[in-house]
Amino acid sequence: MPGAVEVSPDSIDHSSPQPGGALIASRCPDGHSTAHPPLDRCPVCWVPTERVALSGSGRLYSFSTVMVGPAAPYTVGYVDTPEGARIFAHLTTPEADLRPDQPVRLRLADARATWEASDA
Amino acid sequence: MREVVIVGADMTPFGKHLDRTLPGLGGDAVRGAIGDASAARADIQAVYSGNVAAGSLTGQRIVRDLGLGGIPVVNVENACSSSASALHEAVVAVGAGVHDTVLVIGAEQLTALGRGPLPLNRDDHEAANGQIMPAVYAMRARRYLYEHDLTPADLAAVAVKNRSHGALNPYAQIRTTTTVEEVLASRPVATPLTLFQCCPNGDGAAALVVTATPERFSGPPVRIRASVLHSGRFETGFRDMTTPQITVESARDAYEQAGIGPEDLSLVELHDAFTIAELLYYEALGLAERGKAAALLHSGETTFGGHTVVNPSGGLLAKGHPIGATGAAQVVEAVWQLRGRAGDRQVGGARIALTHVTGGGMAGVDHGACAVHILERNAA
Repeated sequence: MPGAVEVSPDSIDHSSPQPGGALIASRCPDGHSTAHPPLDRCPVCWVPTERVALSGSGRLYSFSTVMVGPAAPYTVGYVDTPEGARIFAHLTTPEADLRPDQPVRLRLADARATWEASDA
Repeated sequence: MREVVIVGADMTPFGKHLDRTLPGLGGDAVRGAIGDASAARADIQAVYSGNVAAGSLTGQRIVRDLGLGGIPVVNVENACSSSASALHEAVVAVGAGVHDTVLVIGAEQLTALGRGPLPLNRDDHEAANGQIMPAVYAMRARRYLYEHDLTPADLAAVAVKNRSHGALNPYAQIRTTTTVEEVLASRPVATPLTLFQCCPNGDGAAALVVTATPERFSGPPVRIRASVLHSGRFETGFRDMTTPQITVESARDAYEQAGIGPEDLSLVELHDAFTIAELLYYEALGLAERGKAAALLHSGETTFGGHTVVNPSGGLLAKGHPIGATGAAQVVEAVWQLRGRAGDRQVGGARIALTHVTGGGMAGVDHGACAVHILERNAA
């Protein structure tokens, strides 16, 4: 999907005060893994995971603007969340205003996730 | 394990072979390799064939018209590492004494798929949402430049070097030299990577005759000192994309198997699918310390006349990357170099070569597969 990541309905927490809801990750009860999209079992210990709502904040590890294909241009990146998940992200902030380690914030609307630069 | 050697090697030129078929390309390489070994078809006891995109039974489709039926034919798909994985399986079987002499094939016809980036698996969350291989490498590049205060010109210098090597190689898909300015001005594919920093789509095939009984053949043997195959490990959280873990671990095991270190290498054929890859792999293979890959490149030590010539064939960036053929073709180049038969691109005094191929895009792993081989010129 160009410009956003489509989020499956079972990985959105609509009870969250965040606009559009919160992203849900899986978390190993023994702390081995935190994953989004969520995994039913921890890949390290195979124990069934718990669900955890993400805060929607994160740090941009790296990014690239894709210039080929029918959906181009669009900017993708990896966001590391304080909960320990790395998330494949679409960025709406212009590339020129992005840098690695930039703080970013989630925008979730109609089950489509994008991320933008934030100050905090 | 018995000592395993290569006594026959050949490949087709890489390029856009629009008027050829996959069995036709594969057949050229197979006849060439068997002829190079002065082997007879009856010597071949099994076939290990690597291909990614041409469907089922590609090995059988290649050898059918060559009259090589009745023996085991094993088809290996491991993304860009397919035919290097096939060689690994051949080394294991011959080394263990299951067979004495086998054939390894790598063949691919990417022009049959059309243009542009290769399709990734749609059941992959990232691929389904716009991830493409050039962007994966582009993100590695962005992070690497950021962490080490480098510029896109440092990346472009990889393409300039490898294109200068490819210009000397009649088997290379791209045989023109280029400049940093031209590389940076070529059209953007996934920022900061431009077109000339991406390997071209193409077709080709390579084949090897692998044996434990070289005295039966007249092809000058090249020793296989190490054969290592790894898969990637899944990480759900932070992963350092500038440290290609699967390559680090494969190289470590290969050096241990061979009992040598990176300082002993005369040449390396490595997986430069994109410019940034060559810099990251200098470090992963132990040719440069962390953060020092660009300095090594600029020093000239990885081109002709340097300590370890990297990608004398032109690498994936110039020789081309018909993915299923690439691993076997790297080994063909290494065999030719170690025999002193590499023509204008001969690495002087080549004694030990390392080949490295990785690849396969999957969310949460560095790469799906990686194969490393170390080859040595026969002392005799």
